[in-house]
Amino acid sequence: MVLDAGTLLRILLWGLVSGSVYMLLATGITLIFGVMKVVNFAHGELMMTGAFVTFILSHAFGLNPYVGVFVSMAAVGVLGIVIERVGFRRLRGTAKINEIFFSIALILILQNALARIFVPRFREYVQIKTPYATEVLDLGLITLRYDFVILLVLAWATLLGLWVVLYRTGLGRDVRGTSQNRTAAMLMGIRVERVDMLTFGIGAALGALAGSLYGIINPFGPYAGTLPAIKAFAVIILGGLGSVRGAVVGGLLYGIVESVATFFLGGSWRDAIAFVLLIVVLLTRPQGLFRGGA
Amino acid sequence: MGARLRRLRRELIVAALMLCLPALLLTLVQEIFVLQVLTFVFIFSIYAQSWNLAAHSGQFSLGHATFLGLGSYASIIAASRLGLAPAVALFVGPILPALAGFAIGALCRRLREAYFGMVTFGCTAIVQVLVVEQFGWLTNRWDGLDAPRLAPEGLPVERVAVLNYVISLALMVATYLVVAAIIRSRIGLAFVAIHDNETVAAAAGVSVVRYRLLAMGVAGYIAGVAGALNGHTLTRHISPGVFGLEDSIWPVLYSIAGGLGTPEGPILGTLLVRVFWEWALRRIGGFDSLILIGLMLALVVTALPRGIYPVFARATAALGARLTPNSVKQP
Amino acid sequence: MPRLRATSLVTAALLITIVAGVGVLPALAQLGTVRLGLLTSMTGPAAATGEDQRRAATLAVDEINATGGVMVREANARLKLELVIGDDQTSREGAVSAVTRLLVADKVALVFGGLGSAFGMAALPQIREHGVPYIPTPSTPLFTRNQDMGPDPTKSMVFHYQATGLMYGAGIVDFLVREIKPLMSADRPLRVAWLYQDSPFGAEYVRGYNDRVKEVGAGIETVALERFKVGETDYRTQLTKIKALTPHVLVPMGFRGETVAAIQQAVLDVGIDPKKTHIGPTCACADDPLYYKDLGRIGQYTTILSLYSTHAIPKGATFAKWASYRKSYQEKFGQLPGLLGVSAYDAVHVAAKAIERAGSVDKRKVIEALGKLEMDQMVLPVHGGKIRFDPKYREVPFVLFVQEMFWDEKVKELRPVIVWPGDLAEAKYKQP
Repeated sequence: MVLDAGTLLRILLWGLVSGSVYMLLATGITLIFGVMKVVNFAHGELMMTGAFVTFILSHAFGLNPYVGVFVSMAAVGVLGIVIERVGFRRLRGTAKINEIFFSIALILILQNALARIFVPRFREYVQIKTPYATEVLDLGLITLRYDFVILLVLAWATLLGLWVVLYRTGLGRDVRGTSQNRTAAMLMGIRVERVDMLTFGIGAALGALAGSLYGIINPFGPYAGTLPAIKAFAVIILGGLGSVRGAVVGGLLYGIVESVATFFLGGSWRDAIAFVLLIVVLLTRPQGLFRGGA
Repeated sequence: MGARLRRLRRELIVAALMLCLPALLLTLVQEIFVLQVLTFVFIFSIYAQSWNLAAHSGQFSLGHATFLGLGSYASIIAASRLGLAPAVALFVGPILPALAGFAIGALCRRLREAYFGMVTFGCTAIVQVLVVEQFGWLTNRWDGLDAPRLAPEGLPVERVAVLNYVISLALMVATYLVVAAIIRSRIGLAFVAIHDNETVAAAAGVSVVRYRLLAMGVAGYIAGVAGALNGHTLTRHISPGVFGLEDSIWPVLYSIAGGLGTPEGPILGTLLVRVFWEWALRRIGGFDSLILIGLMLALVVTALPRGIYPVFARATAALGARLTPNSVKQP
Repeated sequence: MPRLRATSLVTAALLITIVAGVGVLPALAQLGTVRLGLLTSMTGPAAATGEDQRRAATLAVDEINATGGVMVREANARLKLELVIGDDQTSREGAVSAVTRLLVADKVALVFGGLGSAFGMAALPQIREHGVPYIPTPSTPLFTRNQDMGPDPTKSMVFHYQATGLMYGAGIVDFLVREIKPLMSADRPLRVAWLYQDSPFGAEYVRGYNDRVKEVGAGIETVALERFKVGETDYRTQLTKIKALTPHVLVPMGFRGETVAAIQQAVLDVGIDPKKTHIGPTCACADDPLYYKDLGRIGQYTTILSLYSTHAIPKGATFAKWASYRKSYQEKFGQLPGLLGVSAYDAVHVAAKAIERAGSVDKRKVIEALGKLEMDQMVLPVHGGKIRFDPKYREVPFVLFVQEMFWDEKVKELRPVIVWPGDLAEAKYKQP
């Protein structure tokens, strides 16, 4: 086998791209956890809902997906707010396991509702078609689809935007405060219910973005979100529950590790690699790589 | 002491009921389909019971399918490759998931809640790859293995269904009594102590690691029995698909819906959720029935955070009080 | 207290069990119908080819019922067919519970259909237990080629109505050796790389391919056998590995959606040049209206090994029924049918014919009738024009052909041209 520069570059590139998707997912989940101390297992379904909305906007209304993405983020953000209000808020104070139970019920509802609309009309998979779907950038060593470039730009721009919100706005300060110490935040007059709601909305919107970007480069269906979300969970545990920095670094790193591992070990290990990594790390550092906290 | 004895008496009565009612049903209804649905309920309530026991010690496993699947595989391989009679393999096979339970318990001994859940889930994913790749020569990779049946040769299909029904029922009741006994005993107290507050428990002299391992090991064995039973009676086949998310989720749903922490809860939960789903599947079909289940469960957890059983228990106690008007007022 | 508890528990539990029992009681069979059970994927990830099968089966059932139904001598009447659907939810566990319901609750006379080899196989123990005739349409030969199936009809109630992975694998080799090798590597071995689905379905294709390669001798060198899990849609890493091996041929093998994704990723992302590397032949199950639509221009010059073609109509009597089937399906459902639907359609007719010949719906008699069956071929093309299940493996010798894809500017979609075998070819294979 010729392990040349082109091949290596490609492997890293796929890792970077899928890592960016994981990064967005993980950040959304970890934000929600940091503020609400809730693990939302249905995040994969929010991801797919976002992908599907972007797809419909593009397929039925001809909207450029890169514009549709923002509409999708808003829509799923609102959905997230509703879910928090109607579900998780009620469960605050009851046993932790109830929240897990509720998110499992959410998986059943969202996944099958999506499938119900999706399957009869679109069968197994669809893919969001962009105007640049077949255009490539020739970089000498390799060729790169425009979509990949846009994906990376959008993902990182969003993260930058998130950083700005978290560190330069009042809301962001409230989020960080609630995440660090909820009681203290309440004492300081922060309306934690509002923070909960908005954080869940933001987390959901990030998931929608992840889903839409994923759906542009991969065929997807109603069930495609479960596995990436679970891997994202493994990532945030590695990165430290509640740590955005951990989610970003962890997500990216994991994408690359997954790509490299698949290359050398074969397709069968792709999905299990996340957990091998998780176990190895947790055996040595039970609290994860980074401390918690945004 | 009196309380423990009262609990024992109640458990025995519940056990007797659990034996009699379905037996009664058996004489009334000869429809194979109904028997099979209930057999499934019996078997999976054993599985849910196993999860419930681990949860009792604070270990909320999200990868319980590991034990279910390993139990099936071990039992089926023992029966078909080593020539053990299925009835024997049924109890020998689960030793493997019991050992896996010890191993996973040891691996995760310092992990809590979400971390614990994720790692147990991860173990299921890893076990799946191992079963398909490294042990593919034994397990037939993705094709899976056919299971020899528990019922003896020559028995017609109707009789087989009845036999499976009775055996599963007996095992469900036996599991109930065993788990109830464990919960009632000092071991159960230790579990609760660890669940509540590990530091305090450790300070009180409870060996946290040992009890956690014990809980996972026993839970692994029981889940393994459920898996083996399922393989030899209902599905007659095992494949790596068992190590997926679905089978890890259901015992959580059944146990919590029924009522966490009580030995009756998982049984009630499995019965209600599963029967409801079967009904919905036939009347509504496919996606809609699953959406309905999701909605129902979401409603249950937001309206009844402690599960159905406490409500059930209170309602029946109230009913009982009404039925015997001249009883002495209860304290 | 225990006594009160006991009374109340009895009442409540009794109520629940009764309600439960009644609630799940199955509907009584409609008097005077013959129930056929279609076991296929109606929900789940790789689903909705099930919908094609459901439609096609309904078409067949309606056709037969329009003539009054099936003549059943024993009942001294023409009985109408009733189609019952079992949804395997694209999972083995789902297949087991679906087939159990079909057999035990709906009490079907015969089970047929399916797309996923794995799911049909998972249902097999139940089928054997109940001794019901089974006409599966997924492609794994393991339905009938395993040691538990012998000449004894009570042990061999499975009649395989689909080209097996072995046939497909062999067809791939024959085409590559005949048409591709002379053009790309006349004096050296042909380097072939596989990217296939890690499942019984995929494994049997590769086995058929390997078996044939051994027979044919030197000439083909398999440089890669990369796998992907069912449901996985990102093959870039595996394709990168394949590209590094510089093969002459890339054979992407999987369901329709997977094949489309693999080809797109190979060409656009990994940079495999279709001019230097031949892509195909892809799997017959991909031959479906959406394949032509989704693949797009990238799919030019790729090949597909088909049993039924969505767009082509090969010449000859063997393909006589295609046009009319396509027309009826399109009139009734508004879209073009695919391979799995056709298989289900044919299977219904085969089942009806067998029941008629048996003169009864008794399982044993129908199985015997299927074993002896000889009837004119339906839509799927059969060597010799007659459907006959061979006595050893109870398979049918189907006619396979390879199509090459060309971009049709008028409809802005790919259209196929048959290039192999010689007697069916519309044109010679054209190198890009």
